Amino acid sequence: MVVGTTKVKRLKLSDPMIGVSLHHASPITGVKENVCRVFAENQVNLTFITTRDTHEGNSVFCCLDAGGRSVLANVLKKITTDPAMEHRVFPAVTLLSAFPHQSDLQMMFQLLRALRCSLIPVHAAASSIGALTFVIDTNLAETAVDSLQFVVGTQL
Amino acid sequence: MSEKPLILVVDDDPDLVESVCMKLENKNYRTAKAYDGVEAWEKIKEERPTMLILDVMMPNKNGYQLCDEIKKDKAYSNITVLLLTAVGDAVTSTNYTHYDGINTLADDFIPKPIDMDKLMEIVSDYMAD
Repeated sequence: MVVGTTKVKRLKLSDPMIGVSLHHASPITGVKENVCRVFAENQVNLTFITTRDTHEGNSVFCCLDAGGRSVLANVLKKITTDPAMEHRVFPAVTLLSAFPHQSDLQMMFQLLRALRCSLIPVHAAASSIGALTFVIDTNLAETAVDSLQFVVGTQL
Repeated sequence: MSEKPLILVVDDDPDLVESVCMKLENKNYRTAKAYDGVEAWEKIKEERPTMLILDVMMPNKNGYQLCDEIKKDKAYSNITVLLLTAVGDAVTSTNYTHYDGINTLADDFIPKPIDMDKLMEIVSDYMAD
């Protein structure tokens, strides 16, 4: 089935990861740099990261392999020394990727709409050179795949 | 004027497939894409590429298996196979070993992460042969 002018060929699910949402409720600079520095110093690889800076504050959403669980508490302790820094941990998230997108923005819209219609929260979304990626809860991954397959007719 | 050579890029990482294809197209090669070994076999039969840039670790059929099948099939054994390997030292948890690699009939091995300029150099060398 064709979405816009693009034929989606594949959907891909990552292994379960840990999602971490961080928000600093002020427009100070250096929040994302500090987050990356602390994760790097603790040798934790971030598979996925998005950041957002606005006049209301700074947000970071990142995903790390389940193997990083043992050091996460220590990392978060270092990152959240500032009381204005709020955080939330999502114990099991999955990256759902659809590809290729061939730069068709219409597809992002269609896929986001399909996930919304299935009541699947999207913690973060990103477009890369080859794929559109959505961070969703692992326990909803199967439903998410069904909803996207219904839209684009792909097979996992 | 002869048709530009077709190179099939096979990897389950869509970003890698896309970036390698873009680079190859900039060098005036035609490209085709596949995201696992089974799909790659279908594309090989349909499109008859001159060269395969093939990842090792893929779902359904891994790069070693596909490479062996190609090289043992007289109809396709002349396809140049460049195998992308991220096994051994770089990936300690892999199921694949250097032994698998040594016993594969690939024409060349390219370590991951890919040095794109080096890859283009190798492609160019094989295409010139």
